[in-house]
Amino acid sequence: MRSLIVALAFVAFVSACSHSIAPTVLKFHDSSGCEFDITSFRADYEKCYEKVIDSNVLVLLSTSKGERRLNRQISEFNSTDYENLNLIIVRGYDYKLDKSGYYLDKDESGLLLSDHEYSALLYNQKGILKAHNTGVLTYDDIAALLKN
Amino acid sequence: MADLTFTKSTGLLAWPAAGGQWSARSGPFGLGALPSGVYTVGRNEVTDYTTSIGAAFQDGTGNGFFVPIYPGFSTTRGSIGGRLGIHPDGNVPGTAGCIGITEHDASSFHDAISNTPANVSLTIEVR
Repeated sequence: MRSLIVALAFVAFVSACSHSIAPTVLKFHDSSGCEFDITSFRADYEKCYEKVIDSNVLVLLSTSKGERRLNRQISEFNSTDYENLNLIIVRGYDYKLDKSGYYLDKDESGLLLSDHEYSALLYNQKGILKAHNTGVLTYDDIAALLKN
Repeated sequence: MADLTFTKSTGLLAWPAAGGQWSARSGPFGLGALPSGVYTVGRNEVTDYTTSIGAAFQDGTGNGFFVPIYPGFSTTRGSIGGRLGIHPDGNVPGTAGCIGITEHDASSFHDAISNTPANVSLTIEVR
């Protein structure tokens, strides 16, 4: 009986964690074939392009390209905003691999989406997760999150 | 064959008929570098070379311009996340998908566009 309780407690703990733990290892690619790790984007970018860029990363995951929040999120910014925030956008779909821009593979996108239709993860330049939610982030939201 | 070419790997914007080439880059911000393909240059929508333009579009002299470009292939780029174009790479180094000229003085590119007759259609191949 006691071992059953311990086992149930462990299952409950793992289940709780699976909703709150964000991925600390996240690899993505770009259309030129370069691979980046979220924790070493600067070094990976320099290795691939021989240029140094510090960048924050917003990962947008969805179950379709037409997902309303996905397109609203991308439309939230103009090109100057992206530059001011040093922000790159990584897209991932769980139903197809789209190798345009920065992209995440299909299986990893599915795992991160879990049972959601849309999810956004914001990482700072050190690869630390600053936000993980299912809503649209404004310019001010992101600027504030990256300051903290 | 396109009139202009931009090679992402070398960062070279070239216009053989105008006898010019310029250092440039595309990305890394926003959705990243421009997708490869042929674009139409909005020859008749070129802005003046002026200080009255956003810092992100200014060169080292404080002047800048914006030349819109339109993809001739299927993509959502340019319809969401900002217009696509060619401009001096001001402000933070790098662009959100435009072609940013990294020369201190980008006026020679603006001159080349402005001196092209308005009825001439121009294309650029990004590769």
